[in-house]
Amino acid sequence: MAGQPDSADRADDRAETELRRQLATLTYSQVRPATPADGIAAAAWWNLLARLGFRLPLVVVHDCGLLLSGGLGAARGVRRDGAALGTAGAPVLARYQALLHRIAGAEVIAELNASPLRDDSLAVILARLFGDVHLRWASPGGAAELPGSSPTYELDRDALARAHDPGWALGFLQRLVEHERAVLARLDQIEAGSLRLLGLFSAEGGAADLADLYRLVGTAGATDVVDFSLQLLPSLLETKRRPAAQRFSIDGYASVERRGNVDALLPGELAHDDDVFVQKALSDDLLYYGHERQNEASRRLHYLLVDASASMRGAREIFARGLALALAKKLSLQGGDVWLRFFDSRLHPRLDLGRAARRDLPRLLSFRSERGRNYARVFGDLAVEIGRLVRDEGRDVTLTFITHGACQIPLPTVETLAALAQLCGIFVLPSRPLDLDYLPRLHRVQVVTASSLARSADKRRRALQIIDEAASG
Amino acid sequence: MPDRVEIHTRERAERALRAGRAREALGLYWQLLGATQTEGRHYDTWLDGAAAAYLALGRTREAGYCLLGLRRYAEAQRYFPAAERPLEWALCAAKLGQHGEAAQILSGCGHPALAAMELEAGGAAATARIEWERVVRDPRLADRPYETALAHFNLAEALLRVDDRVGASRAFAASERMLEAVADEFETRGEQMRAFDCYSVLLRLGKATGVFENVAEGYLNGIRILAAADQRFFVLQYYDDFLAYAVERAEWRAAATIAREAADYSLRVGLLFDRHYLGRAAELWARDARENQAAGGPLELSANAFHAAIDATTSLGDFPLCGRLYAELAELPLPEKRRLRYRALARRYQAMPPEIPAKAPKFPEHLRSAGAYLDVWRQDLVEWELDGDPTAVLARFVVERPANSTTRLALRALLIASSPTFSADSAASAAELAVALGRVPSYEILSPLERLYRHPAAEARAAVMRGVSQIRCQRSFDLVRQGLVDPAAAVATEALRALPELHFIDGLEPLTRIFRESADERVRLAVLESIGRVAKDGSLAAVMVLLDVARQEGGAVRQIASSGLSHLGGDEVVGLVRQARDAEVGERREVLDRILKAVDRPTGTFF
Repeated sequence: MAGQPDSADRADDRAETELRRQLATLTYSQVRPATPADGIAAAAWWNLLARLGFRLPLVVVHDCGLLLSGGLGAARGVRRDGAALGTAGAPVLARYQALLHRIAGAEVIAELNASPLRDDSLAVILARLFGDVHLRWASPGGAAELPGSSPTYELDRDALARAHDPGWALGFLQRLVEHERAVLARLDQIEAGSLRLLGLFSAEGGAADLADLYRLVGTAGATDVVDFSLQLLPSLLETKRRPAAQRFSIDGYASVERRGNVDALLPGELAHDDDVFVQKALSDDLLYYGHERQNEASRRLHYLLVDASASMRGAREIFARGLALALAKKLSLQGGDVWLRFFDSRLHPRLDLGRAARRDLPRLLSFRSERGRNYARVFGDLAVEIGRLVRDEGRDVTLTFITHGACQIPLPTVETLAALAQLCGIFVLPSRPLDLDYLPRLHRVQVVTASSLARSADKRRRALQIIDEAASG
Repeated sequence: MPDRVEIHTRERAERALRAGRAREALGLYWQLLGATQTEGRHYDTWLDGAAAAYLALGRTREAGYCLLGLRRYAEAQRYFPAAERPLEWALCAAKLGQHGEAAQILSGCGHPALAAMELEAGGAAATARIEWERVVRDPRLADRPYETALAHFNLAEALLRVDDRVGASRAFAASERMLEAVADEFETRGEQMRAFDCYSVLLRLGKATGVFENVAEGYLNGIRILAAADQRFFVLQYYDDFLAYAVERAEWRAAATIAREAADYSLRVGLLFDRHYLGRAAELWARDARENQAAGGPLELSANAFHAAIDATTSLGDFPLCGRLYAELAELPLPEKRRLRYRALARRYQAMPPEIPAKAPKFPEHLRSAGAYLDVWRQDLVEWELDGDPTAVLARFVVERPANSTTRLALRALLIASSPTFSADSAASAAELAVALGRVPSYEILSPLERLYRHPAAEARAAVMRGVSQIRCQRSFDLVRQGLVDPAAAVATEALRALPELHFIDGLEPLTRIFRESADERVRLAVLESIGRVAKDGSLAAVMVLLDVARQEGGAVRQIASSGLSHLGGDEVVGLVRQARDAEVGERREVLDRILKAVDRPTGTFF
């Protein structure tokens, strides 16, 4: 109807209204002096938090974000005049100020400030710090995203506060200071491990999904998967790293690439410390000399399937994904394509741990199934797809599926698959002895038990043996 | 207690019966039997009189049904010749402990599943296994994948009972494959509760075979479906039970994640049990860490498990316990720098004064429902076998259920269906039966109603709509959906009338789906009326639906959603409406503002 604002205008109005409402809360900020640029940065963090479902008052995002990101610099700091605050809500603000000082003095702040922290990492850390408090607070927020640029950022904060009463934010601050110990405890819990994970995935052009990053840091299992696969990776790589055994020549190599055989590693890559080398290997940051791809390598396809159903809940999930990650890296090094997919009642989209590790690794680590399982359908669909790959594209396929001990696939389907591809089943921590009628049809069967994954050297060899055998198909 | 009119009516009936006026007596007893809430002893007297009247009229079958209602099975059996009324005869025999005989008759009249169950009740496991094998081979199972899965499951259990482990394993495997596929199909079609039934069987299958993976699949998918249907107490009961099972099976990591999920869920839906489950999560993560260490498992897994325990403990606010956990973490053979850090944190947290612990109630016994675990692998197979035959379903209902007003209503329907004037082909008869069935508020009654809906006469189908409007199950909406698009206007009209009657919390999801799928404004308005009633019964999910409609729709649809909201109140509703209002501008904001003013009204003060 004429005269009615269209939906885009309405959205803009809502966004501006919300921005003013949020900026008004900066009158409670304890960081001095304040700059409009800080407000813009804080709004960007606020938007990221809102995408994760956390609509905190901007003042908290602003003050804590600046502390965590090291954005204060030498000339600025947290106020120290708690008792002299003469504003409404002074007792709460005094306690809030004291909390900010304790945050600023925490050991982990120095670690966080040591290297630039990307916005998405910062948002994830803020979400972890304040998630519990947010759950216990009735957020009166709207649904708008704050605009990244607006003349509103230049407006006087006090004037904004007079127009948009920021008193609602005091409720959150009250909750925050009541849960001060919990917030500080969360800060103490931020480990080098979590930062390492975030660092792996939050790189330039990484485009990791924010929600996946949050789940990554929040779920115990994600770190376990990385740690478990990192435990295996050095052994997978170390036998190839002895410089004396390698001879490099520029002749015969056409390019420098991010994937390749370990014998084609650039010499400079071998100079890294073990930790750095392994992380670079995990996130596909190593550089290799590239040469003409052989026909065999280009036809080879390693198809990895990882069971993501509820049946895998617990230790099975950790070991399955850790093995999958290690196996994917190993197969990548051998050459050929590596496709990894989760399955439950469907085959989920491919993860490219070779070419897009930074983007897809968080998904591998934090993926959670939202349906039941239907192995007949999954493996039936797979048989059709692999048939096409073999017939129409001339691919040489090795299919490895990592699952649990009650994975019932119809026998005819397994027979069809076994005729098309090398078929390897890895069964993780079965709760009872395997009793599956299709086992004899598989070319290779591995059963992973807890003892085979133990940390002593001889037990670790067993885990590596599993991967070696799976990769040799 | 009967009132004076009822006492007088009974006296008249008895006089009529003594005077040989059985038809008149029957009419008077029929009036009395309508008062189904009457206390047992008196009702039984009327039922006894009705039985006598039926006998006097030579209507022995109906007399037999009355005797079934009176639990006089030996007498009743005399009026059900095995050759003519085998099911009724067998029901009586079963109640008299004659399980073998009952099974033989049931098997001979095309009820092998019921026969198998009778044999099991009589302890004849080997013979029961033969009957289950007959069920599995029954041609009526063609194109019935769900029932086929159930048949294989029951066979598998029977094979276990006779210690045929190889056969049982094969049958369980077949059942498992079918159940997963059928559950997936049900979910794809939006039939969540039928998928839930599949997961219930998978759960039982897992427990019967000791396979944790299947128990996990059953519980977690069941929880997912219950949570989507906002069945909070069932969700927590399932979480609680799965947690106990995981602990029993020493699946520490799985148990810890379940406890943490239960805590998060409890907090999210506003229940009081989050602290209890956080405490359990902390204990179980710590246990996982210790067990992993004792078993020589990967070191980082132990460390991460302790971190997860500390995380849970932080959410709980138990900082001294945090300190103790950091101390254990510091004892692990980790790099020295980390160990030093953990020791420092341990000292700091252990020195913190303990907070006054808030209560951490666990999920109480009185909120547990006995109906949380139904033996659907039996019930649904019986339903398949009886095929919606009204007399068969009702007779079994009367015999198997405790005597109460519901069974009396079922008995009345049964007597209608077995009257000599009743004809399944007659529209009037079918309509009368449909209405009588609708008065029996029970899931089992849906299958006879679904069968009656196949009647060619619109009058009968319209009556089915009237009947189903009284049965508050999600499955009732399947019938109503069919009725809404029935070619006969009278049927569609009754289906439309049925919608506002079917207002219950479980019904919100199918109601919302009908709203979204229908372009007919009358249907949408009727659905909103029902959702308004669900909201009034306390469902915040229903409030959210109405809010969504008030924001997105226009005209009469928006009007009725707004009206439904305006009749609500309470802090939570006010909060939701305010939040929605704050997110809007322009006309939508004005609409929500009006609603907010209506819901945020001062109520009468009690104090």
